[in-house]
Amino acid sequence: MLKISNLSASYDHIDALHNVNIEVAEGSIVSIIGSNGAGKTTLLNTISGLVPAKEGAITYKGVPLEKIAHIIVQKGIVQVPEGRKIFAGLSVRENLILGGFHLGKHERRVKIEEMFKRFPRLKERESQQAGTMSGGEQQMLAICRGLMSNPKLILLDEPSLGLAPVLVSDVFKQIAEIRRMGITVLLVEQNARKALSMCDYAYVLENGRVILQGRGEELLCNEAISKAYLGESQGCKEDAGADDEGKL
Amino acid sequence: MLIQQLLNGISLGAVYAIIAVGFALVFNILKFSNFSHGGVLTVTAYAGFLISSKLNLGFVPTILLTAVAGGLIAMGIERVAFRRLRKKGSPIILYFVSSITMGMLLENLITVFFSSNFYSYPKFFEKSSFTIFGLNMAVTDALMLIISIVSLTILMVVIYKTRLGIAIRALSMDTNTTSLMGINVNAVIAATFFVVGCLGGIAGVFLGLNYTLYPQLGQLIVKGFIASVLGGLGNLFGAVLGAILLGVLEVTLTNIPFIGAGLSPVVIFVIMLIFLILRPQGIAGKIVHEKA
Repeated sequence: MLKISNLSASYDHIDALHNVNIEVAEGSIVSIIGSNGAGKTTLLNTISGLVPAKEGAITYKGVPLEKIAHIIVQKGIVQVPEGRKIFAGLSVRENLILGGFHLGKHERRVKIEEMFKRFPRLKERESQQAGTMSGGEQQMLAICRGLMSNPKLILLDEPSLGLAPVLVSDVFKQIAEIRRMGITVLLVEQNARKALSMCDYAYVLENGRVILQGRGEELLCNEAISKAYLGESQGCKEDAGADDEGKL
Repeated sequence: MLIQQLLNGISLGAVYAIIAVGFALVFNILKFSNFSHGGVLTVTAYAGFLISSKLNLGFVPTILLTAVAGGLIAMGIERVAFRRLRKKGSPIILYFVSSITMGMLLENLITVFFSSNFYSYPKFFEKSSFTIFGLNMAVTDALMLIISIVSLTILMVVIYKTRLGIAIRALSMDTNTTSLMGINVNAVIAATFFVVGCLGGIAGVFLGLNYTLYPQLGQLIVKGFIASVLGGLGNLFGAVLGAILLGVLEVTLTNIPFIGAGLSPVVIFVIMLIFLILRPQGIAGKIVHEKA
C-alpha cells in the first residue's frame, strides 16, 4: 500500500533519515521502534508532506505520493501527531470538524456522530475546550480527529506517550479496533514491547537507518532487541497484556 | 458634556477598532505586527475617493466596493510579501521588515500617482450633524459607529461560527497540525488576508472622510497597533476594547486644557508603556491554558 524506497531527509539541517526502505501492506499494522532522535517522527512527517524528502521515493497504492500536506490527507493518509497536538482552545466538536474538514457538511455530521458513539466521553464534552480534558481523553480526541478524514492509512506517532499504564492499554485496544475497521496502521512507538506484540511487521530505526526488520514476534525474541529496547531476558515470554516495563 | 465626550470617543474608537481587529487577526495567525496594513488603509482611502468621485456612487456602494478592493490588495500583499517567507520558514523579524517595506512602498506609490496634495471626498450627506437626546453627533461619526458594529459582528460570526473561522483559529494555534487536518493552509491565510483587507478598506474610507486624503494617512495604523497592545496582541475582543479605550482617552485628553491635541499622543504613549510594564498581556490577556 505504502512503499518507501531509499528515502533520505534532513530536518533543521540535521540529516535525520538515510536510505530508509519501508513497506506497509494493506490492512496490516506496521510499527517503527527506536529511541529518541532515531528519526521516527521525521519519517512520519516526510510521509505527511511536512518535511521534504532529499532523496528517494514514496509511492502510495502504486503511484508517487503527492508532496503537499493537505492533499496527502485527502488521498487517505492521516497522521495523529506526537504529543496529541489537539487544538486546546477549540471545543471538542470543533476539533472533530477540523479533522473532517474536506468532507461534505452532511458526511461530516454523520462522522461526528459515529465518533461520539465510539467514545461517549467525547459527546459529554462536546462543547468543552479540548485543552481542559485529561491526557487520555485528549489522546482519544486526537485519534478520532484523525479518523474523521476517512483515512485508508493512519500514521500514529507515539500514541501512548505520557499516559498512565491503564490508559496505554486502552490506546492499544483502540489501535486493534482501527485495524478491524479496515484501516492500515503505521505505528511509531517507544513502548517497544507493546508495539512489537501487536504488529504484523516491524522496523527498528537507529540514527536514521533501518538496522533491523522482521515480523513482530520475531523481533520480540531477538536478543539484540531485547537488550536494547525491551529490558533483558523477558522479551519472548511477555504477552500483549504486559504493562509498560519495556518502555525506554 | 461628559456623555457627549464619551460618545465622540466611542465613535472615534469604532474606527480604531476596525483597524485594530485587522491588525490583531494577522498577528493571530502569523505572529507578527503587520504594518503593511497601513499601506492598505492609504490605498483604500484613495480608492474610495476615486470610486465615489469618478463613478459618482453613493456612500454605501463606495464602502462596499472599497472593502472588496482592500481585500484584494491585502491578498496581493500576502502573496508578494509573506508567502515566500513562510515557505522558507523565515524568522518572524523578516515578516516584520517585509510588512513595513510593503507599507512604505504603497504609501510612496500613492505619493507618485497623486502627489502629496490633499484631496477631499465628495459630500455624501446634506446635513453634517444631527441632534439626538440633546447630544450632537456628526453624521459620519454615527455611520462609523453603525458600520463598525455591523462589520465587527459579521467578523465575529465568521470567526466563531463558520468552518473558515474554525480553521483560522486552528491556524493561530498550530500551523503544522492544521495542515495535517487536510486543510490548505495557504488558502486559509489568503482568505484571512482578504477579510483583513476588507476591514482595512472600510477603515480607509472613514479615515479619508475624517481627515482628508494624504499619502501618510495610513500611518494611523499606529492607533490600531496601540489599541491591540492595550487589548492584548492577537486577541480580537481585546482589540475592540483597547480601541474604544483609546478613542475615549484621546477625546478626553484633547479636552483637558494643559494637554490638548498637541500633547495627547505623548500621554497616550506613556499610558501604553505603563500598560506594557504592568500588564503585558493586555486587557483581555490569555484565557486558555493548555493542560499538559
